Amino acid sequence: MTKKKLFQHPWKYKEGILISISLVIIGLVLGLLTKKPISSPAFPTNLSLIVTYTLLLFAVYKFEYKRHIVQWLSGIPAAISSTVLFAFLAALLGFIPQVSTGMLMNDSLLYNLGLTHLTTSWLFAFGYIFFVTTLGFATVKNFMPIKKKRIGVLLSHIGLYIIILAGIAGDGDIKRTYFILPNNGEPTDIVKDFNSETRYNTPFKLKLNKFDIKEYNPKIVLVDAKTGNIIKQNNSRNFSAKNNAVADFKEWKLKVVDFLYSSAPADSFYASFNETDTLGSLPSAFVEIYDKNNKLINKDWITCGNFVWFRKNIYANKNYYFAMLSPEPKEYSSDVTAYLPEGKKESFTLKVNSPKTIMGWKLYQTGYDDTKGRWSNYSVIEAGRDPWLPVVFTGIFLLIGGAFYLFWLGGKSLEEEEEKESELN
Amino acid sequence: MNWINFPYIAIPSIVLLVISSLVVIVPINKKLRTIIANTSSVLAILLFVYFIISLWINLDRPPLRTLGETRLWYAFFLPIIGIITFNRWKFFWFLGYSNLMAIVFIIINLTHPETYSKTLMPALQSYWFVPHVVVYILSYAVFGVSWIVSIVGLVNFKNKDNKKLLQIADNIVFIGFAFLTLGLLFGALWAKEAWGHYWTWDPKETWALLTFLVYLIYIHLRSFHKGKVRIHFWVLSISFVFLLAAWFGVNYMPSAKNSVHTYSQQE
Repeated sequence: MTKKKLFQHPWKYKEGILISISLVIIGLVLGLLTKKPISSPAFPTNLSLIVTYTLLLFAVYKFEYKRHIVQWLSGIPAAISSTVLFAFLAALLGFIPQVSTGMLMNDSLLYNLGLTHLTTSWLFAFGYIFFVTTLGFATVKNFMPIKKKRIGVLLSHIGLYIIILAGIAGDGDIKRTYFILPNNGEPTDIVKDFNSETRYNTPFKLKLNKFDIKEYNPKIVLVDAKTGNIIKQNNSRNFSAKNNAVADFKEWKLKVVDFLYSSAPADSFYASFNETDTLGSLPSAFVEIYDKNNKLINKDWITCGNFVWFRKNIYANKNYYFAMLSPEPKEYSSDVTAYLPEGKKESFTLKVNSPKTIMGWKLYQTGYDDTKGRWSNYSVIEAGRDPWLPVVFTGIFLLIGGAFYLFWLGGKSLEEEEEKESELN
Repeated sequence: MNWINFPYIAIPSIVLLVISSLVVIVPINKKLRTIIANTSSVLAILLFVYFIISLWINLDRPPLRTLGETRLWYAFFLPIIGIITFNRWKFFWFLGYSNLMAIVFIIINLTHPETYSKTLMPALQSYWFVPHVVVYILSYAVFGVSWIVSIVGLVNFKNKDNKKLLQIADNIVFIGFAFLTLGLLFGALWAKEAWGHYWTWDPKETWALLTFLVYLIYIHLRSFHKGKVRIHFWVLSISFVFLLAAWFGVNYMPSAKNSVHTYSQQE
């Protein structure tokens, strides 16, 4: 038997590798020539593209199956080649820091090749199309005919096919914008795009009634005075301030005598603190430092400082001091009212991890003025719209079904008699 | 029931889980062994069902808010998945592993009742937290075993049994891959709730996808080219490197500076 020449049928892995490399080169060259990120098509182009492409895959598979290229594309060597290419692109994404498209302006080689915005580059588009094509053919193959034994395989393939097609299609139609709602502000319908900062108007208005934030007690840490680095120690790394809390740091013992969650300096020297809830009030603590022999070496008030007050630390010796860190948020939420058309109103609370849908827009608590913490005078609410979401979720649930099947099957389709040997005790 | 009563639930369930895990080394017949393992696991799980329900009623809210409550769910789900996997695949080591993990979480709850070992930022406070992490814990454990199998296969390559060994690896990889897929998808569903989009090419997501893809390649290679045993052992052992990169490596990569997943870099 003579050795098969390159691109002599049937194609195998060598051809797959060559096709992948060509796609990479063409993608990079196109990127260099156009020097611009590409964007996914929006509705209705994306919908018609998807439908046409899927029907085309079915038709080609059904009527042109005899062609070698179709057999190759629906076979394993092409599937593996395209997955390797896709994994290669994912690895690039995983190594090279990506810049959001709104901020693109530099002229570096990485940028021109499309590598700083890979998901919107020609390179990615080609890899993606190759992957979708082999995945699509594999899906179609499992459909014609549907075999009961391979139902899990079918579920996985079709689920993944739907997810990645609808995901990219959705990219063209998705809107991710945000409201900045001031305390006691007027209802507004102006939102800005997260990437491009373009202004849009929502079909409803939103008003912030009250922004509420709960914070954890602040941590107290030991700092190297020369470098400014926090000294990490296992037992005291997460030392939170509270009354009578004691912790060991290096050779010292720190005791919190009095902790005030909301306070302000009583005088301009910060010599003592009073409990208060006025604007800018912040946590403070009266602490004592003991040395190895349990001798009191220093005591004073410390505070983390904020936009109103200065930070105040306490020195253990000339090289080390204790500092209070700014408190971390535990929970923050916005009481808002949505003003719908025809004079209707709806009030609700938005919290991280509990969004709310109004007229097809999903609203999220996203942020606040973190320089001011609990005195923030605005709340940032994300307003997102993704009409393709139900399609993507359908794909996700199909793939979850496939995953359960895979678990149950455990590779049994590969070898029938393996159950006996699978005891790995 | 309240946290004060927790030891009355915790100690018996630890005993039951230990019995269920250790019955394998007792020289009795296989059937009896399986019955004992099943009974004790199910009893332990029922104890947890009882505790969670009564705690839920007592608190008047689902116990999903604090870290201690989260650990309660770990301790509940791990033995369930362990016993299901055991009955399906007869992996005693897996049953032992999931039970041991559950016991660790129970003991932490006993010794540190309701204390915060770490502040939990708002984005992590979600009912997706437990299922997302539990399936990942399991998938990583299973892939860890598959990696050991692949190394054994590569070291003893001359051994005639390595085809059998590869079959065991396949079995394990399929199970691990199922959990990995669930973890990835639960993560996507959670991300939609927390960050507004199910996929943002965050470095952690990218590396999780990459791990998914390399094991996908292994599965496809195995399904259709059964003969090339050595290559398969190599692919399987290299796949685990990607998994480790996704798990630990991401935080140290240049791409990670904007990641929403690097929770440890707050200060």
